[in-house]
Amino acid sequence: MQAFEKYQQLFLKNLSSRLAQWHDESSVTEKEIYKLLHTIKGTGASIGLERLAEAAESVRKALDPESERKWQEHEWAELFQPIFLHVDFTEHDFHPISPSETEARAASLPDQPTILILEDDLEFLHYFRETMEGYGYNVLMATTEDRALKTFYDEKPDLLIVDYYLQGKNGLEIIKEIGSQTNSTLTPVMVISADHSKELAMRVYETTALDFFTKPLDFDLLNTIIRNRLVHVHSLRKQITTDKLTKAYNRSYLYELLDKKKQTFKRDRVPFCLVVLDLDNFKRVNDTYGHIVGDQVLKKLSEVLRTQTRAEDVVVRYGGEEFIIVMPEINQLDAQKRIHDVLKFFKEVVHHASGETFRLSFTAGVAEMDEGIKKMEDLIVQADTALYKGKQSGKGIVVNYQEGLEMIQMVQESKSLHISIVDDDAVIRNMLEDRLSELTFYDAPTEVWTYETGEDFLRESPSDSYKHVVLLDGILPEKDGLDVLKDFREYDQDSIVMMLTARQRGDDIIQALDLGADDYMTKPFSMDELVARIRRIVSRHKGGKSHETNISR
Amino acid sequence: MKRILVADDEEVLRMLITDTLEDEGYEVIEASDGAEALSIMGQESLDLVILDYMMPEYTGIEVASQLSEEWKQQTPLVMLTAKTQDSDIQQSKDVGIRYFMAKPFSPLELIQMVEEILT
Repeated sequence: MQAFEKYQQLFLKNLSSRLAQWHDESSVTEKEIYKLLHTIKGTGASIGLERLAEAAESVRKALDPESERKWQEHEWAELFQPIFLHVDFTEHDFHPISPSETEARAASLPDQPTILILEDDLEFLHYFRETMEGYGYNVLMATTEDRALKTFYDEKPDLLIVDYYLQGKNGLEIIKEIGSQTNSTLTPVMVISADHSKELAMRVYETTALDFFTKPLDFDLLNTIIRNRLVHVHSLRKQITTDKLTKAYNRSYLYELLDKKKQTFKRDRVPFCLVVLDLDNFKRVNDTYGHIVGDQVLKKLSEVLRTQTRAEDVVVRYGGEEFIIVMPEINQLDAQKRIHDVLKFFKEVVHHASGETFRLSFTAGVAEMDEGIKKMEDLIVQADTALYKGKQSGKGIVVNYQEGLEMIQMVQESKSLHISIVDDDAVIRNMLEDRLSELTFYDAPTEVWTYETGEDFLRESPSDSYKHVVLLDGILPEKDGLDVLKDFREYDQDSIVMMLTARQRGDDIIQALDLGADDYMTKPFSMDELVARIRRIVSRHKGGKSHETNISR
Repeated sequence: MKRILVADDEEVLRMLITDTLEDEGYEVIEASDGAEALSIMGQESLDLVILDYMMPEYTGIEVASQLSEEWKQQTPLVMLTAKTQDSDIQQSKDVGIRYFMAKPFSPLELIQMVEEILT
């Protein structure tokens, strides 16, 4: 393989500049796309890029070698997703647009945007309406303020047009009244008037209205401006509900969505599933390659989740390396099967970091909505419980939630926090044990073990506990604290280790952090500070991730 | 020293073939499309020609069909084709090509075939 490296690099560089060239052109013919895929297949497989060649071949089959059909970028970029997954083009000048950007570019508006017109000149209103319908809008009309407000709240139009001169009240007063609502829904407001004065224009722009037009209206221009505003709002809305790093939806969108799903389920009882999914060994990726690589991995995972699920499935970044997928109209077994396929796909994806390559997996839990579930949080808890079971039985699997005692016991068990104290000083040991045994973390009890030497600890400490904090003295008889840490990390990367060290030994602290300690305390320390630190680190640490924090809103 | 013309528009594959053959002690001339290949064939004396099936200007088939029977008798032609494309092979045979190399291939397969033809 080594011998092919030079060819591979050049090939990928050529490929990326080719794609960059396509990116600059408005469209590409199907024939050209076919030809490129053909080349990738033939050459790729000859120079050791078998996976890439396979991906190209799978995509190529869908194309006609003679077709002159023009493909837009968002179309071919989508087609090339399987190829992008096998090549990191970022080192080769070309940055393929991600599917969500693709969506944004292709994004258009709702098929038929709805506009609400408030106008009391009936003749003009009639004419206005007909013209706007001709441009493809769904038009709602109101001739009075009350009617307009009611229609606005009931129908949630995409845009509001208000005539300034109304009998009784002027248009600006209505805009002020409705202002907080239009602001929170980001609905653009336009004002029209026969008055061409600068004074009126200024007063209009002092309100939340976006545009001011004078009669007679130029409808071509008006239509163009309306489209412009709607596209803008559409992309704003998207940004507000999107996680910046991963381009998945964010938590606030999840809760909005789950509220809606709950209502729909009450009505139609159509099954749907919720999947909680956690990237395996993410901490190790961050520790080994740094956070930039960690971020890239999260982006890739999100991309895989979004492209390998169905179009109607919604992918949400729930926090850190945890994602939630809401899958409509599917039962639990089918959902599990689909996520299993996604997992299989993701396990094949090659990640790159400083010249090295590695592969990753995720663990997922699947829960199906049923009538017994009153709060959507409970559905998340179920999926999370299944996820936890998956993590316990070795990661890299998709587990269905099932009701049963076993699960319940496990949840309870998972709630307890294990603390190991390793210190040769009996006074400190007892003091820590007394104080820490009384603690509760998120209503969960604490179990404390104490060890006099590092050897005892390494021999006897539980290796499979979910949340485990180790307080490790830096200076121990026989085997030194740092050596204990080093040996411990060989087989356990998930437990939280806090070094207890003497203040004057700064080198020890640096070495301890290098060896994988999560935090340190210098002696003498106050118990309150120690407790506070343990709390903080447990709630943010992966190994010590608290289910309770995840499900609370 | 035997001289071989390698005609392929795909730079990387052409490079791979050239490097492989040069390492084996052959002299290699490169062409990046069908027209260039034809013009080289008109000027240089060659012992073997490797033609890609799908090339701009003239395809491998079009190049071969413009060569005289006599020329083809003297100089063996190898067509590079995709493994799955049976129609390509039939078309190539029709224009007098007797040797085929299906993509993907390994450098070793290439060397073996070239040696076989030239000895």
